[in-house]
Amino acid sequence: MSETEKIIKGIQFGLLSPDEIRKMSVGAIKSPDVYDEDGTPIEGSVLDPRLGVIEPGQKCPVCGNPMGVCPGHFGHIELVRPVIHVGFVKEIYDTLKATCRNCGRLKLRPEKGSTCEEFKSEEEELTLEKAYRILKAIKKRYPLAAKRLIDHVKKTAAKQEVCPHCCAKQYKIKIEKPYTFYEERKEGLVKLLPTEIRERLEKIPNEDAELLGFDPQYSRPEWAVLTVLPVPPITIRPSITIESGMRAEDDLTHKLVDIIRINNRLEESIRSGAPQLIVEDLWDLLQYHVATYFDNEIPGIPPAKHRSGRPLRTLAQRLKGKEGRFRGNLSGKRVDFSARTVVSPDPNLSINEVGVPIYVAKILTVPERVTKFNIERLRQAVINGPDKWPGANYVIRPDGRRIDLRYVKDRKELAASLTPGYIVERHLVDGDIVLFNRQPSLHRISMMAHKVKVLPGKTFRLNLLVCPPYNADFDGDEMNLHVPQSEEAIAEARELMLVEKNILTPRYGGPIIGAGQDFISGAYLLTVKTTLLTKEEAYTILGVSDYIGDLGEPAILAPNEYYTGKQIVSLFLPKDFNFHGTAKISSGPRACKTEDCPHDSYIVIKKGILLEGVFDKNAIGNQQPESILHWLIREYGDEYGRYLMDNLFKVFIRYAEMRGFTMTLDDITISEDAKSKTKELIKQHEEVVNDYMVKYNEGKLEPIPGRTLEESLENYILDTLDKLRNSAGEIAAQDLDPFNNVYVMARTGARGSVLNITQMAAMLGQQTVRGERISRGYLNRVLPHFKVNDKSPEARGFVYSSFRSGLNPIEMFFHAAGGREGLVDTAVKTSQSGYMQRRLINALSDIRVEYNGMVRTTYGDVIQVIYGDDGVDPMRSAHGKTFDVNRIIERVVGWKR
Amino acid sequence: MPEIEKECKVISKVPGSLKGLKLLNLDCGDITATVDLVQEIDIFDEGNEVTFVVSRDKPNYTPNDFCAHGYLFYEKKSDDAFVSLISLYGLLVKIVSNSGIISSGILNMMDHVYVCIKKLN
Repeated sequence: MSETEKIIKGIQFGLLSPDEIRKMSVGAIKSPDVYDEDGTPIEGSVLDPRLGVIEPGQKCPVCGNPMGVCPGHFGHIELVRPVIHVGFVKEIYDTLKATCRNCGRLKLRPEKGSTCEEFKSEEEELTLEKAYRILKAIKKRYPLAAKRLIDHVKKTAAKQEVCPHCCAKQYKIKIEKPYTFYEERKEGLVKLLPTEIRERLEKIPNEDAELLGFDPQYSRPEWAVLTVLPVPPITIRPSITIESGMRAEDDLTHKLVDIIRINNRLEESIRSGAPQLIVEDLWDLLQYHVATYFDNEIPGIPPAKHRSGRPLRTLAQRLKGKEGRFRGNLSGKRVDFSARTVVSPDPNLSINEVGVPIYVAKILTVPERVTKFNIERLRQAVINGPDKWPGANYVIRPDGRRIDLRYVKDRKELAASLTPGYIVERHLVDGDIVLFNRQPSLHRISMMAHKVKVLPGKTFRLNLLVCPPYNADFDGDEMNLHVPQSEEAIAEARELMLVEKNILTPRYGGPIIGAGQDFISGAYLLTVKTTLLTKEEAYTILGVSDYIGDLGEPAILAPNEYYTGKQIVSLFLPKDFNFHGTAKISSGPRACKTEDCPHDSYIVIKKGILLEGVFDKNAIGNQQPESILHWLIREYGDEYGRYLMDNLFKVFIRYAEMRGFTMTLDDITISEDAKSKTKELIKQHEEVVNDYMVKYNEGKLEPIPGRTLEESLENYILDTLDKLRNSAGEIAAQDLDPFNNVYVMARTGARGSVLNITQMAAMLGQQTVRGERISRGYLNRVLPHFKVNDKSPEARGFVYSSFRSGLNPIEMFFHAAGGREGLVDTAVKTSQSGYMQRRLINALSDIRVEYNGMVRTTYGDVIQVIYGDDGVDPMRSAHGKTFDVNRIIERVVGWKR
Repeated sequence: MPEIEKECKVISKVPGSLKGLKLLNLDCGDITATVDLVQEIDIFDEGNEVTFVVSRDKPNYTPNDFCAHGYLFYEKKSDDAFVSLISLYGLLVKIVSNSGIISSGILNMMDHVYVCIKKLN
């Protein structure tokens, strides 16, 4: 068989004409019964054997092909009365409005003018010929402009009350959704029957149809009113045999049977001369069944239901939506060699690794070709079989035959028969490359390659440092795992997608994988200059790393020997690394800009020795560009980055464990003295607020430009109350120990902020909804506990209590009101930005950077002459810049500074 | 032969800006030194007479002395005096002198040095 290459130039959409439907049909379908008494499908029924074979061993009577090869064939139903195609109701409506009810012409003025006296039109109004000329000129080149012209034509023509061609008076067409049309005549509303609609549409000449947006060669307007209904092949609506031997039919088959039954009843009624009312009722029923056959979610009509009460899944439902054919089966589909389970943390794994339960490892397989180098290992895997890990599930012989090891009695014999050329589908073992993914997959690092580490348990285990790219936490998150099957896929995953190769994000070039939370607390506590370690302690914390080398002389030799935390960190730094910069803790009273810094908040690393300053979020945090971690990875490579995270970062948490790290109520409890100061402060600010309210009531309040007096008052009050909370926070900050663990977390950037501490220790402050004080609830007051029109802080959501002291019921109510807004915002933002992202990805997914740096579409259209207009790959750049001169100088001669 | 060897007096011992940190202020005549100390190595009292040694070679010391090693990593002139910093892998020794340690050629940037403070009596 010769294969010729064909290139698809375009796709032509159109409506099927009744003739076409009959031509492609293998026969009319008339019988509402499907099976005869002995259970064979009846010829002329919806399961007519001519419609295709779905049983193995049968041959198609039409094409002679067996199941799987026979594509299936269409049949047709001759509808006794025409019905509206529910998918084209809008087109029918527009067309009826724009064309003459009598002659079928488009109600646009002819160029030579209308002969009708009653016809009124303005001189500049579009003429029929002109519209046609314009359409012809722009149709191919500017299809969007043509669409606008057609809309204009429809609108202009619909306005005419008299046909400019035959002078017939026109009536207003009304639609009762979903598919009933009426004409507003003198005598009242008159229903337009589909027969009448079809007749009117038939009269429209091809030229006029074109101006209404139809391409008459492929879709005539009257084809939107069905007289013949195609019956799709059985292959798209196969029947299934359930356990009890009963046959269950597809929803489409059920629907087609309904259509045939009603069609036959309608035919019978007409033939027997039944009253018009009965005929029309049956006709309506036929219309309902045909409409719901196309779409069973039409607003305004009840969905057709199965006997069980379940709505039928008809044509439109099969296609649209997330689980429809396009999104659910074509854009994305279920795949083999994948697993999904809950993730849980394991700081002892490498960032490159993923812990896989043995149960999963025994189901997922990797095809490995037998060679003389691996034959013994693979023989053992075959002997172990499917139930003993590390075993194998299948063996594929060189002739392509697949042997299922579940059913092999003597696996030893099979193992002995293995020779190079066989393929063994062996269990997942340590070191195998797999892809790991967490939805929503918003950026490419939502899916990275990991090395398998088979572990007991039922969850996937993940190093905590890899949480940020996946946006994963361990409150029940599940993740997917995929096993690449070919050597190429495995190599590609390893070389491009491995976690260590994606530490720097392509978004801005900074490390997306880096320290967070306890890693930062641990790093700070270890590196702060007051930390001294005995030799044993140094050994203990280094024990979790793979550090091999001399520990060196302790920094403190006498009176006792002590190592410092900075000394431990320096063991992991490259011997030519230089860095100067401020730490996160360098702020407020502890800010430093030079090396002469008493607070240990200015970091100096020279020749790989951490001389001064602490490691906190600024130095090693995730998503911190231009940090120590960033420069280390950029200058010493991904592998070194991975080494740091697998070793030094583990040392940090080991130190935190050894020292102990917790928080207590004492960390956020302020003294009585501070409390009384806060009370005094509250009094002062309340007076200020009262002053504003008195001024407002007396009309003496100075309005803020551009705001009403009331808005100005609200602004003044909000400002005052904000100052109150800040001042209360300051009092608390002065009162609390700035080196307690809660403060350590906030200052180092590990977790929480100064505001969190203020709210825990001092006061929650103003609760807002949409940026304003809470004012809605009862009439002119939020809660019945307040006087009407009370504008005082406590009546409008100011919370004087702290989390430490606890909130009173009213404060709790306000706090819940403010909190609800946050929850709603999150929910709305997630869904909206998700949809936006989907649309953007679909629009941009085919754009790519060519080898010459140009950005082009798949058609070769140039989007950018050089990527990003500067050719810089953010992942390999110095935080978006092509290079960073200051960093280069620092790197080379920074130690001399 | 140590690069710097001075007889000094502990003029004060004040709390540093970090928890558990103390600053030992030494008056050594033409230079003054401020040394970071923490509880584990705090063996000095105000008024102690001490010898302050900065040396490339490891000096002799006893368990009654304070002795550590690190790097000279910073020197800047501020006002009329030079401020030099030695990091004992974190703990800082700040030396204020008229001529500077690097500027006067006694030591070089990033020289590995031993710093010892020995009690005289």
